[in-house]
Amino acid sequence: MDVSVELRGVTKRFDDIIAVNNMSLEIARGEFFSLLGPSGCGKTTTLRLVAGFEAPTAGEILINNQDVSDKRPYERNVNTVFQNYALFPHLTVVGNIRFGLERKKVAKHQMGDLIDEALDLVRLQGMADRYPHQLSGGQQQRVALARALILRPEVLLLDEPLGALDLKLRKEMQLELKTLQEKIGITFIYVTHDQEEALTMSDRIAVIEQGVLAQAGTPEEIYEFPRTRFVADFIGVSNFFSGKVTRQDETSLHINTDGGLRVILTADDRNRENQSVHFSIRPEKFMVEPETGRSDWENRFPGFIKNRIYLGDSIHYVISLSDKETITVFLKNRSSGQRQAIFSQGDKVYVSWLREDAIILKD
Amino acid sequence: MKKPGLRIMILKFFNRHENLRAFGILSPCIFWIGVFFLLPLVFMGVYSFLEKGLYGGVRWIFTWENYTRFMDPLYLKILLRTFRLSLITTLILLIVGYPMAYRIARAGKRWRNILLFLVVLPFWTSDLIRTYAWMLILRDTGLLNGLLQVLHITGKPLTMLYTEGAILLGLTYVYLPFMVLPLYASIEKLDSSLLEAAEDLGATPFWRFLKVTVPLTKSGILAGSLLVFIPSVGVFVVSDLLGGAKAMMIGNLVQLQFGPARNWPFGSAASFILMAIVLIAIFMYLKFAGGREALEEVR
Repeated sequence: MDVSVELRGVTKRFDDIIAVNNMSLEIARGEFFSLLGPSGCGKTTTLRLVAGFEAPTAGEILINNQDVSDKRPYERNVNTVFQNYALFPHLTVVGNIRFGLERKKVAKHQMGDLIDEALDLVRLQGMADRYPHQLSGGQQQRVALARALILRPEVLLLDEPLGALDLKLRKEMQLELKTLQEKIGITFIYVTHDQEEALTMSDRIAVIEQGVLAQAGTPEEIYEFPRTRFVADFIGVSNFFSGKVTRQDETSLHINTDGGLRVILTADDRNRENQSVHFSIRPEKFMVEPETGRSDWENRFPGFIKNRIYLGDSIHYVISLSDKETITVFLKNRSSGQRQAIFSQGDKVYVSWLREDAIILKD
Repeated sequence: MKKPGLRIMILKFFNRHENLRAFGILSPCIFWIGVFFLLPLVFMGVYSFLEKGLYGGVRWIFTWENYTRFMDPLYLKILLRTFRLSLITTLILLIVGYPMAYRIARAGKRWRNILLFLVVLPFWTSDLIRTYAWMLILRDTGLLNGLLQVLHITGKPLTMLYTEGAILLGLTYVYLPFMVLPLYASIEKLDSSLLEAAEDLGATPFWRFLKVTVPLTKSGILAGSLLVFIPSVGVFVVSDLLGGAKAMMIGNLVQLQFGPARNWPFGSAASFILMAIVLIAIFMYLKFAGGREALEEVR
């Protein structure tokens, strides 16, 4: 892998708070990499460490294979798009975009071309002489982007850049950002607390929990194979079960859940005999049959519909399997030929799932 | 029917004449400025064109004499010194006050209040007393000379009192809070993410200061400079006590004419000339510094 940014055991401590704890990451060149987590989890601090606004308490940060841990922000080939854009209010759009160029030795005529190109890139032609306060939120955001990109950084850092925009504009900008990133091929590190945003845009995602890297991987990996309960819960919706392994053979784990369900899962390489185990299942992985169903699927349990939310294209059910286990199930609203898949509150049903759709969690 | 009271009548009047309301609210202020500021100014304006009486007072004879007399090199020199010293005072205070205000604005909340309190603390005593204190420190047999001699740094006393240097010291001392407070107010409002953005875009600390910090705190710099420069030009206590007769400023000249010299017309003329020059200077300063528009843009 052609590594663009690398964190080696980076820790950042503020007084007695550990904001980032022994974080190690490798980010490939040209990758759209997201740092995802709830507010206060340390994702912004991680970004600020890469930008150089904070110095790590321990560990190293490498950009382009060079240790930059002790370099000031202006000595790093990295630029940032700030959450509030941080546009200079006393400068016009052009003034803002030119700001970074003036410190680089760029010839006058070349500067004009570069600025025109940058304005083109973010579709702000004709706005050149406006001041930031005369622009809409989306336009300000694009100025911030142009101002950073014109310097051709090794890495562009984005700190929740779409957070202040309304939903529709945010969706538009997500696509626009992604397209732009692919076009220019610069590494993006993108901080967000919006899992959907991260899933839509990223090549890879790092999920951060209380300063610790919980899991890093592609959106599919993170969604399909969450390693911890936190990841499974934070990304999408999950149903959690706990139980005890009663028997283990080469291929399967036999589990007695806390609610008394006898479940069979795929065995992993660990010996779990007689140990407690946690696993999760995504709501869309379940199959639901009416009471009269006669399938012979494994992991098939009776339950009843406690609640349902009709969403048009899909229907969400809350189904009670035992007095301790209530699950959420998403079913597609299929063609009328399969109308029996629509249930009402109180209906008795059979719920089943394939053993490989259950994910055994680390904790 | 009962006759409406005065209060009701006033309210009714202002309800019907909306455009006069502002006058209603401002009337105490208008009265105050009119009687205690504008009226005396008119008197002085008139006096400046009259001849002086033999035993003080004026003779009602029109003359340009008071103004032409000011063109004497003796007085022009005083005028020049006044502006020079005021300008230097303003510059020194900018250089001293800016880092001070910056540090206070960036200090923690608790420290910030303590430091601001310390800046304002000297106001608790009259600046006359504080200026006298400086006399005790600076004179030939004063504290500073005593210390220098005890430490064998100098053999005999240095002349520090009654010099332009002493005036500068006094002026910068007295007017420091007037510089620091407006600077503090504008620096405190400065969004620190803008400073980070500048650094992020490659600006070294010096470049960042020049291109971001200074332009964005311009309102404080302008306000502080004016608040220091204007009273410095008109000062007379500090220059009287620390400068003496050798380093007279225009404030002392005016005071002399209204006091011992009993030449009210000439004193009035000197005041008017001073006022005119200050107004022109401020106007040019604001124009040159791009005051209005630039400030509007920042907002």
